[in-house]
Amino acid sequence: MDTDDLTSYSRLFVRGTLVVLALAWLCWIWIPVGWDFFRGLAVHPQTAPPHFVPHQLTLVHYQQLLTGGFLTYVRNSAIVTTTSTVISIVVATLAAYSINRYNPGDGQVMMFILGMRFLPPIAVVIPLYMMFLKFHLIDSWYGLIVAYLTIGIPISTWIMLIFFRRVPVALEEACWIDGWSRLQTLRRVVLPLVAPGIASAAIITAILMWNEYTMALVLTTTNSAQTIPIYLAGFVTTRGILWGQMGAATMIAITPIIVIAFLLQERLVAGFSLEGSDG
Amino acid sequence: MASITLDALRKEFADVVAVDDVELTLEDGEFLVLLGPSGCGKSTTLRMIAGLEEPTGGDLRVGSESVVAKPPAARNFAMVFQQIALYPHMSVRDNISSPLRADGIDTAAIDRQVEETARTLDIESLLDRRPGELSGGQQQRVAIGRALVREPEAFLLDEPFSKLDQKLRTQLQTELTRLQEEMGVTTVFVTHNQEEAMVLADRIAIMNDGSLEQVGTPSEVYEHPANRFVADFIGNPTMNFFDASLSEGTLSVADTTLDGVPVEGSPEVAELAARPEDLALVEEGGSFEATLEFVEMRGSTRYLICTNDAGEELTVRYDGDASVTEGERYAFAFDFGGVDLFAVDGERVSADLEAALATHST
Repeated sequence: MDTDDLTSYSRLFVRGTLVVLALAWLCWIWIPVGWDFFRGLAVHPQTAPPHFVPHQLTLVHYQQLLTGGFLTYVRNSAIVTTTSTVISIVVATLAAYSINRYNPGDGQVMMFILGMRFLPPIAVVIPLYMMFLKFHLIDSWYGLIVAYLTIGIPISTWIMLIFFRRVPVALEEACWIDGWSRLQTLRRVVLPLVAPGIASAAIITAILMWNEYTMALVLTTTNSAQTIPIYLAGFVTTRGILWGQMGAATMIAITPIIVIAFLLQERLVAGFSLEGSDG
Repeated sequence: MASITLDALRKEFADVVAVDDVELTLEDGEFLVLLGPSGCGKSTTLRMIAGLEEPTGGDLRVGSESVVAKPPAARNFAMVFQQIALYPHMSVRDNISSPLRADGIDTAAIDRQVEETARTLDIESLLDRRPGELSGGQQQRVAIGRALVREPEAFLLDEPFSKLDQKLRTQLQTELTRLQEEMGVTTVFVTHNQEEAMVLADRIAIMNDGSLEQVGTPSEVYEHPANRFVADFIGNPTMNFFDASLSEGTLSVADTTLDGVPVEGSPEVAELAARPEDLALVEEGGSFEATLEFVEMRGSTRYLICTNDAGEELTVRYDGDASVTEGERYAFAFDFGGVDLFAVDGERVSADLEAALATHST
């Protein structure tokens, strides 16, 4: 009886602590977002001392953005992000499947793939710049997509591998025995079971690409390929920070990510929790 | 349906020989159980038959045709896995119909066959559920259904009942035997459970360390184990082993001798093995004495668990009516008609002990 009380109290304590920590974490994330949101709506975003919620609201910053060429950058970001994510996921799915089932080099392949991510981006981007100059890939979507694949493929392969590991080989063997080919087995059994992994890998890769700054800064020079993060950085000027437009642009920039994450929420949760998929 | 021949079938993993040149022929319609301790190569043998493991050497024939080069999908074998391996994202109906859809049969025929199989296995009401919603026994029924739904060359079953409780296992064993007989499909069933093997098999193939130790009917392997390994592995309670020697027709074991044993050559007999029913508690004239530790009841049969002077445990079946007391010493005698002799190398020594007994009684 006493020990029951004790465990229920300690359980309550652990839960309470977790809730407080979660709330603190949420504030940590959302207060800056809220700050940007209100700068984007403020008539005088630079008031000192700053008010978190401004006294007067306006949409003029959004209007200025939409008429001032911002959409070109949104288009560049959308094309580069979508294309590099799709290619990454297709390559990563096939790669992760092969690595998982054939285990080449006793797991060393995975270290090799991930090893690239240990380098600081700037160490990769300078040689890329030299190469891209030769291939005339500077300041083009193609160049940026190729560059982004060097990040997207390793990351999504790594994520997909975790999901493939959870599909028992016996399921595939059962499918071969039933008379299906290897490719049919992949389509009928393996892919449906790693679908949450595909969703997770896609969204994580897409977020990385959408927000990428270093490579875009070095490899693009004009608005024919520059992306949203480069445009946002442009609001930090020699005459101060343009808080209003920056806030508005940030809101537009994060909207697609939030919408996608929200739509895929269930898939993602199912993907991240270790929901058993073995028969 | 056809006979299946394993011709010097061999599998090596790195430097380990998992299956060592196994020679075995399954008759058409036969129920063969591959039996052995874990790691003996029985599952690897089954997986080679299925095409899931590529043999290092040897040949595998269905009828007279070699299938070694064929992928699993082309062999038309049905298999039930130890892990059950139902597709978790498909309904029971889609799981069962999977092999039929792979064959490209028309939908109406598929529905009919699935319904029929489900009726046979009493899982009709589960057809629209997902495997995750079923109990272990129901899942295994569905897995069997997926194997039964088509007419395969052979059924391959890899310890399918090992995760089920005893009652459910017995029930499914009975059903499997009945269905296998009805369909007449050649069947290979892998298990480490010798009682399960005894119940199911037409013939049992006993494996150890990648090699076949003996192939025979359940009563053959029980009555005439080919070597010490089989003698020790088959039977529950296990056999009792005694140091023994045989020279010039005289068998010496424990405190007794038996002369006039007709024997070919001069085998070096090392051990005598007696089943619990080949030993008897006697009033006098026993071959050895032992202390009764306790009495074990198995159904209506009583077993006396005893310790001899060397401290070895012995099991004796007791059919007598007189009450026995734990801790007392009793005398026991051999029924030489049932015991087996093994040589130093573990191989069976064929010696007609009954003939020797006959000369004594005359």
